Amino acid sequence: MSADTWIHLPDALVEDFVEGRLSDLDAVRVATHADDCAMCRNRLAAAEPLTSLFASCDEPDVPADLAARVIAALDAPPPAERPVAPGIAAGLAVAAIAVLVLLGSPGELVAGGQIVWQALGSTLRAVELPVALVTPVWMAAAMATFAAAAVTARRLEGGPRQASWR
Amino acid sequence: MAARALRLHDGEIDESPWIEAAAAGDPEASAWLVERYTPTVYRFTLRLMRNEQDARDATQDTLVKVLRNLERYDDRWKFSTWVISIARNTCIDTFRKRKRQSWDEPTDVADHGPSPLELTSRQQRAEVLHAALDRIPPLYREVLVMYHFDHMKYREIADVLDIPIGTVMNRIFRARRKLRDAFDAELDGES
Repeated sequence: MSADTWIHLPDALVEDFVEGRLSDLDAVRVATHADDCAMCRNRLAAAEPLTSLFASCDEPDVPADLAARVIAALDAPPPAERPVAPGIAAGLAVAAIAVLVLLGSPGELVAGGQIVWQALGSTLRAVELPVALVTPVWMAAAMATFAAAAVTARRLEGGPRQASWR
Repeated sequence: MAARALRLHDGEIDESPWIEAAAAGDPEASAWLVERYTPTVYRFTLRLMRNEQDARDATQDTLVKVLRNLERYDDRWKFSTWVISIARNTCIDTFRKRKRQSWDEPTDVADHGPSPLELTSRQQRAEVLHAALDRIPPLYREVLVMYHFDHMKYREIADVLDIPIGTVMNRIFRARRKLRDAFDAELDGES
């Protein structure tokens, strides 16, 4: 069976589709065709016994004031950014303190940094990091790490996702 | 502003000028989108959640999210599909908040009509259908709502759920089977 040969779906195929008798591949071909062919989409719907049942339902009335309520809500200021949950914030603070304790003072980091630089080879061997420069860099790196952790925590809490009923 | 609503040859309205204007902060364009999508979103959320107050709240939340995040809209998606996907996520958020209560509790939607004896056959069928829909898990209810009530294409449902089209069809088949069973159980008066 080739989807390319269909102008419209044969009746037998419509029936097999509705009854779930097609292979997955053929069923996808039929569905894809129906998505692009209004006539066949209507034929599939008409062949499905549940369609008439759904058609017996009236459209629910929409509350008359609902659109105005939405527009009013739009005019209201957006809610403040949700803060990081207290538990996560406390955990991050503890982690930051632990990093400071384990890594030591800025001076020790400078010494360690110099060893690393020396190991990089002759080109870098001549480079020395002035303490005045390294301290703000160290502080900035720590703050950036903390900010990245906070953003990650925020995403874990409720960032963009494909929601699931489960 | 009226010139923005260009009718295309297939009968659909080109919404892109309104979307762009609303994204640029035009309140009239925002209001136009709200008026246009309030019925769609309300009916979708009502059919999923089966509670009028929840549907009102979800509609408001959905459209506020949509209008405040228009710059994130990717026009490779159909706009209505994007809106429905946000409405669905909003319903799921409500569902999760209510999970410890009971999602399956009787809802207020069917409480306003006449007594069963006064119902016509058509109304009775609709009532039983809604009761049957309440019986099946939301995972299956949502695909039936999208396909049968909102007349969405398989591809659009796949986009909203972010799953392959074959999975959509399998889920719809299973959902119909569950709905038929639930419908029969309702007719038999099972609790």
